[in-house]
Amino acid sequence: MISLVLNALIGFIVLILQSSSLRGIAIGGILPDLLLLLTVSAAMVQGERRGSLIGFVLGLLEDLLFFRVLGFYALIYMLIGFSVGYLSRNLSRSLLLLPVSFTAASSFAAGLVQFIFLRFLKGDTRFAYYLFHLILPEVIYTLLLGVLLLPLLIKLNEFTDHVDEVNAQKRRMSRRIRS
Amino acid sequence: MKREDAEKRAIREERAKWRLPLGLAVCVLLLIITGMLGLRLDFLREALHLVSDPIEQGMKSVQVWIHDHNEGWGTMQSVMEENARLREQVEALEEENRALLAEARRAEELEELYALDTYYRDYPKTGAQIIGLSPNNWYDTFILDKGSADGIEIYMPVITTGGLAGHVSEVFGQYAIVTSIVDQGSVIYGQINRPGGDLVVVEGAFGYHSNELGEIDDSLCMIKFVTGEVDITVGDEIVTSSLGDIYPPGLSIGIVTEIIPVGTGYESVAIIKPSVDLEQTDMVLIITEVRNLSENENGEVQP
Repeated sequence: MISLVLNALIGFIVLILQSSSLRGIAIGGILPDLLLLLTVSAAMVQGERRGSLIGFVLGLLEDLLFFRVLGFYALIYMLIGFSVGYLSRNLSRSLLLLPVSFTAASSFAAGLVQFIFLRFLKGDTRFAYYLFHLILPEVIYTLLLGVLLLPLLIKLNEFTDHVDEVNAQKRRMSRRIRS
Repeated sequence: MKREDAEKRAIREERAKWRLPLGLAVCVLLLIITGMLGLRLDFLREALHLVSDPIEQGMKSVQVWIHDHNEGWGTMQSVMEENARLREQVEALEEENRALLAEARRAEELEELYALDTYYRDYPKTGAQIIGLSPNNWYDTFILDKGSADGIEIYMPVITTGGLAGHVSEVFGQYAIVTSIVDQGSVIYGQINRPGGDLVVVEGAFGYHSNELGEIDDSLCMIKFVTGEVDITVGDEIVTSSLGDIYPPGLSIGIVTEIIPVGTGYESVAIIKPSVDLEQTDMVLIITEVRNLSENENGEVQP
């Protein structure tokens, strides 16, 4: 619960900043996908269930704040949360390589989905153009930021996950005592 | 006791299996409700914006403050000198102004004579601040800090002191979203700003793509016309014409910077640099008067 609230709060602040002052970090008009970093780190630590829930909430925030229909980004980030959580079930997070490659893969997948639904279905078929001007630059920028931020975010998620676990255990204990 | 726990866990696992399909269903349902049925669930968005708008505004003013102080700190001395020089200039200009005012009064009389007083300085206007740009690479929106609570309606023209910036395309309670004139969907009826200037159709060119022009990455507009049919040259100013449905006549759209023949040369495209740079402005004016709109059968209004 604490983990979910904290991730949503960070996502909210990141979105607001990215729409105003943090736009200054854009390189050549390309912004990194910070919500994706949040989703990947949460899903890697907490598994596919909590990961998809946190992805859903983060995506819904973006939809609510800036997108014209609800559910689009919620769907994308939820699926990312689920697949990253599912794939990293039995994998160690101590190496940075793993979260970074998950970030690259999911950022690329998200770029493809956005191209298909926001451009291709509207009749804009210049895939190569968007691949080299939007999708790949975004992947690379997100990756570079991910190398810096992912260890931090994973530490944070491990901590809040631990707190949540302790709270849940306490609740279970008290229930057992009562029964 | 142990068995009970195991049973409970099994039930919980069973429930957890349904979580992803449930989430998918919720997303698809939301997409259908908001996208296809047109129910916009504005109360949810507005609740969030109640929190986010003040933060965005605060961030903006902090930014402006820091910027101002950075600029001002080191250059205090030169500013003082400049001030003295400017005072002298002001006096000279005041003198000139008086002469010009007399001139202006004469011009006003002439204007009345030719019934040319339909210009936009008479329209009721209200100021608004740009508080947000899109946070993503895939879509473009500008958010203003005024909404239906301030009397803003859809299709109201948005201008700055430089000229036309766009029109309000979505209105919520406390904020509104603007479509810029460089947006690819934007179409404006314009006129070359000369006595008897030709009428033209100005389209948004941001993201436009063709063999001759390549990819247009900058905030530009364009006019497509049959070569020789329209009397247009580089340097011409384009203003809104009185033919349009939503923009009042006489607003500056931009300056022609380039004329490029297309294909066999039968057609040409004039590239127009807009008078307004939205990325560099944070205050805009909204003309709070919607012109007579022609609605089509879907109830949508075509600008």
